[in-house]
Amino acid sequence: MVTLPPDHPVTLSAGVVGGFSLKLTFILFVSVVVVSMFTALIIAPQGDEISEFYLGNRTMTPLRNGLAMCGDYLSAATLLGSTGLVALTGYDGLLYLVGTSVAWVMVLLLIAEPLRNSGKFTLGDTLALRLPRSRRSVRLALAFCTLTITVLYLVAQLVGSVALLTQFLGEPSSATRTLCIVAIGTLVVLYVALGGMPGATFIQIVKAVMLVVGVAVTAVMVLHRYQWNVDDLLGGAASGSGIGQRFLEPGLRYGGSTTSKLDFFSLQIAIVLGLAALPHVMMRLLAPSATRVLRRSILWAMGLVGFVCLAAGVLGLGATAIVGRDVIADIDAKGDAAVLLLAQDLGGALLTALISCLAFVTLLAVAAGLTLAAASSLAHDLYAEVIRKGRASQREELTVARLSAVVIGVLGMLLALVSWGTNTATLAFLAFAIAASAILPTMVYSLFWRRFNARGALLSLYGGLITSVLLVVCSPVVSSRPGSFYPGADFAFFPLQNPGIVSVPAGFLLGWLGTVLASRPTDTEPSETYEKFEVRAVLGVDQPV
Amino acid sequence: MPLELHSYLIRHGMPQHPSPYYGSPPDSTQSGPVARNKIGSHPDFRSVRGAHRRFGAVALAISVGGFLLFVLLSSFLPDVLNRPLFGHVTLGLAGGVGQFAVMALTAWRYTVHMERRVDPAADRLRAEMHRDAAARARVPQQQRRFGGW
Repeated sequence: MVTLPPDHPVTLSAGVVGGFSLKLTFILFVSVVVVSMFTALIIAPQGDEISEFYLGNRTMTPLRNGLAMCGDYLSAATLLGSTGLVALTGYDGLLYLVGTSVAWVMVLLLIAEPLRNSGKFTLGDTLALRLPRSRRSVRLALAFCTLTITVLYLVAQLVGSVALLTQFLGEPSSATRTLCIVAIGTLVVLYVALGGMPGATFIQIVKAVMLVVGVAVTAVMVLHRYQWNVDDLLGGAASGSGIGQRFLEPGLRYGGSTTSKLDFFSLQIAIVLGLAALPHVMMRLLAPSATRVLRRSILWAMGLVGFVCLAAGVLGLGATAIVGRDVIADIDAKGDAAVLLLAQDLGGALLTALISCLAFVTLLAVAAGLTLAAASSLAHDLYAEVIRKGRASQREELTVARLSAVVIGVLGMLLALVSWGTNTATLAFLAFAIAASAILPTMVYSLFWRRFNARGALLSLYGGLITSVLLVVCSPVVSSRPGSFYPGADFAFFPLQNPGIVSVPAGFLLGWLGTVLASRPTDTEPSETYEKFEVRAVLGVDQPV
Repeated sequence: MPLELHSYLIRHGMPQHPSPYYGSPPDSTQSGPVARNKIGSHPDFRSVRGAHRRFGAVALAISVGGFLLFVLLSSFLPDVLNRPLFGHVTLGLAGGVGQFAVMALTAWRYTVHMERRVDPAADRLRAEMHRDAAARARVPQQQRRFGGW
């Protein structure tokens, strides 16, 4: 049994957490990494089968699949960022957590089953099957969007690891920063390049189990302190916030003006529609070998994500009630420290170490999932199908996939080192917006619209991507505000920080427009192509009877 | 080698096409399109497709549309949602938890719907397709044998 030292005083300069906690976190993290790395090496694909590298074990049980989906889906942003948002802004933060779980309804009802039935390794395979005449150009476009989204989100994860380290050490020196990013990035590359999907799946499951158990234990401790009376907890949060009942009413963060209200709506659109279309989440939907298994896996994932989001809400409210809103805001203006402070208060150094180790493993797992999705897209869509035009051998493609993981990892690390001061939420929200406005329209149209053609696909992919990026470049995120990248310049003619409210309709509109206006005969596909595709998508003909 | 292939098939559970295809669907042989088109215009297939899409559209409008409406209500009509229910719980907080209930209800109804209305017919059609494909695969072999004689 570990003897707990007396509580460390919370001081700004030394970070949130004391030295003992830091050592314990380090030991826990290293043990998890060592164990999962060995396991990843043991279960790594042995032969030259690319299907095993891309999809892993296709006969996993629904519970394990669901855990892996949950692991891919919930990033450290949910654990630290969202709970911090709840702790600082109350109602608005809770609404953000609701959006995170509602996104799964979209996956379950609309996308999952037809995508699995018609898919193979990557999203590009589905699109190539649907639009075979222009399969190279649509694959190229989809790979481009996939790489943009995954690299943005990967950089957000790596920068997030530095932000997490800041909670322990205070402002890290540039050497510590570099070391942290390079260490996490190297681990990610090793998991993916050596372990492929089986390795990534293992770390996702480990992380998901740790996450569910960790938030459950902490939430139980919070609720126990309030005798399981939610009303008391809400009352405690209201008084701990220093602003009373106002804390439990909407508008604390996004209620300043109509613009910021629309900004919140725009963010929720990007979350509800975009999280479902993130490439690494979609790619995991292709793994189960039967439709029924996929459906039950998603039910597990929905249940687990819903549970974690509810528990995160309790943690956020508990942090405000027990630690106090001012203390949290003083240490980190974004509120990322809320959970760690709460853990320190409830369970001392041991719980703090557990939660921080959980946050690091979460970062690592999500980064691994992203790197795998990017490497698959690069190797399968770009190299094997576009550059080598389908003539690459499996062995060759596998080597390229492993190398791609290294390339993506190194690229992510370099970008993270350059942009370490960026607000990670901005990068992540941009990734959601691109997913919702480029990938979602294309996939929905190609699964459900008979007339959809290559012109529409290209226009919605490139159009959705360019619209989202341009709107963010021309928003207060980049210029005109004290907190933006270029505070001195002013080219922010788009008032919202989140482009979703404009770019998602634009993506759908462009896809429709391109399809309707396509005039060249090479743009349209013969009608039996769609009929064959539809039979495949509805029935899932690859399954055993 | 047969043992290896056998264990591969068991692990991957896709006995139709163990080798990956590139760019074209796995069974786009000469006889493929005919069978697909026959199934594609089968009334059972149309009802399966319709049952899946109609339910999806309605459920999506209720749960995702309902959530986005709730976000708009919170932003623009806060007075309605701030009405206290009991203690510190307001209509808005109860609505937020209600979203989880709606989500669970949607998932449950979807599963029941798919298991009752879609899966049996889809299984039947799939079995029919596999039978057709197997029958067609047998015919040329027999012809060849006859030709040999």
